[in-house]
Amino acid sequence: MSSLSLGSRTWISTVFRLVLAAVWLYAGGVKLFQPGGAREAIIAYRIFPASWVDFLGWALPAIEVGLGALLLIGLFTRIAAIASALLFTAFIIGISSVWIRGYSIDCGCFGGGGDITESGKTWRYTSELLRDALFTGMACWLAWWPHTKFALDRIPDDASAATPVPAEIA
Amino acid sequence: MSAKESAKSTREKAAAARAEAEAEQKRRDRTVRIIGGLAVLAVIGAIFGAVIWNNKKTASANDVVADASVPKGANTSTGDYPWAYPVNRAGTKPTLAIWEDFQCPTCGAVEKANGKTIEQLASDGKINLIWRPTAFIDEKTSSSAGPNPKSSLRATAAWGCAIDAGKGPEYHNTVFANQPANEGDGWSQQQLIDFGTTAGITGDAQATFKTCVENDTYHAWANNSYQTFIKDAVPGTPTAYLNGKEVTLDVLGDPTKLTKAVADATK
Repeated sequence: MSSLSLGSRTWISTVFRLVLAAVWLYAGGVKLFQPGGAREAIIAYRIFPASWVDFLGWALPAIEVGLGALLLIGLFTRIAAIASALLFTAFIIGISSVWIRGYSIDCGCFGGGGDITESGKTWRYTSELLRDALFTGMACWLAWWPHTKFALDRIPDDASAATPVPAEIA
Repeated sequence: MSAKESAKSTREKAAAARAEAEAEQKRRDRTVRIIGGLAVLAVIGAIFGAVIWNNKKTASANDVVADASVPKGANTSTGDYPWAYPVNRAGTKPTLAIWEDFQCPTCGAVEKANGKTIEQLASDGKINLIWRPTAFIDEKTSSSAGPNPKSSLRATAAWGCAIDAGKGPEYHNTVFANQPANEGDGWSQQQLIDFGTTAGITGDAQATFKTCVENDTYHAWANNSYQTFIKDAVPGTPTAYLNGKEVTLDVLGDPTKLTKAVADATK
């Protein structure tokens, strides 16, 4: 990527930052308006014990909205990007694990659900894994190059490049 | 002062000014980060406080009624399968417990594909079949605002009345066979009563059944089972457990695979 100029890298990072912000705000926001938050989705992974899911059901959308807000205003961009990459990776592990164990990830009752055929399941899992892999890639890029436009952050490493040195001292 | 010294002094002054400017910028950055971070935390805290408070308020109506009356043969609060309906008893044979919501299309699909075999396994004494009703789709679909609110809960309560009339399996199958095309449209009280006739409840029993449905006699039982479903964090419906181990959907919906799984679980 060294062939890219600093300017275009900054712009790509900016786009990724805003896309990820939108993803988190949407994902977390939707869960906020469901009874129990992400409770049901977390249960579907069959990873956490029943006593955890009430707490996690609200903690997950809280984290998602928080990351979305930080990315939107461009504050702690690098930390938020690293956290995003970790969370997406956790989702990838979770989805793969459910798939390998042969369970249905949704309750099979809403929207695109109700599909109990193998091909329908394969398509669902594959598309969700690809989507999360794409987001992980964007988050990694942003963690590597967190300097973006329209951000409250000033990245210390790039500060000298970003702040022009006063040419004349009175 | 030589020109060289003077130049040096100017450079030093410039460096000092630059350092001062950078320090100032750093202070400003830190302020922005602290204020911004706190603002984000405060906004999120406020949103979640409101949401959770609102959620608690609605959830308090969903308490278990410990001494609820249950249909004939159904479980009470005790045992491994509280509030469930054991279809048959087959001693030490494997136990197949199936969580179902009458409004769940996938449950309807499984019943259609494999319901006969499941009931056959029970009547052949190869499994202890236990049906566990839930009503979570009431909260998830437009049915709460639609023409037939709380259809899952009402259908379950009506099913309890049919169990009393000795037509538990028949009524169960009738409801699934008559799922509306659009999930969440549910059933009217009249439909739930008519299903009793379809299930073979006639004569005096029919009048008793009708009164039982109209009085919503087993509402608390139905809701208790639903609350157990929530408390146990069951991952949706249909969810089946063979001797406590979850059966995947492809097995549950396939006569051959399920029969084999049952044979494997039989000692």
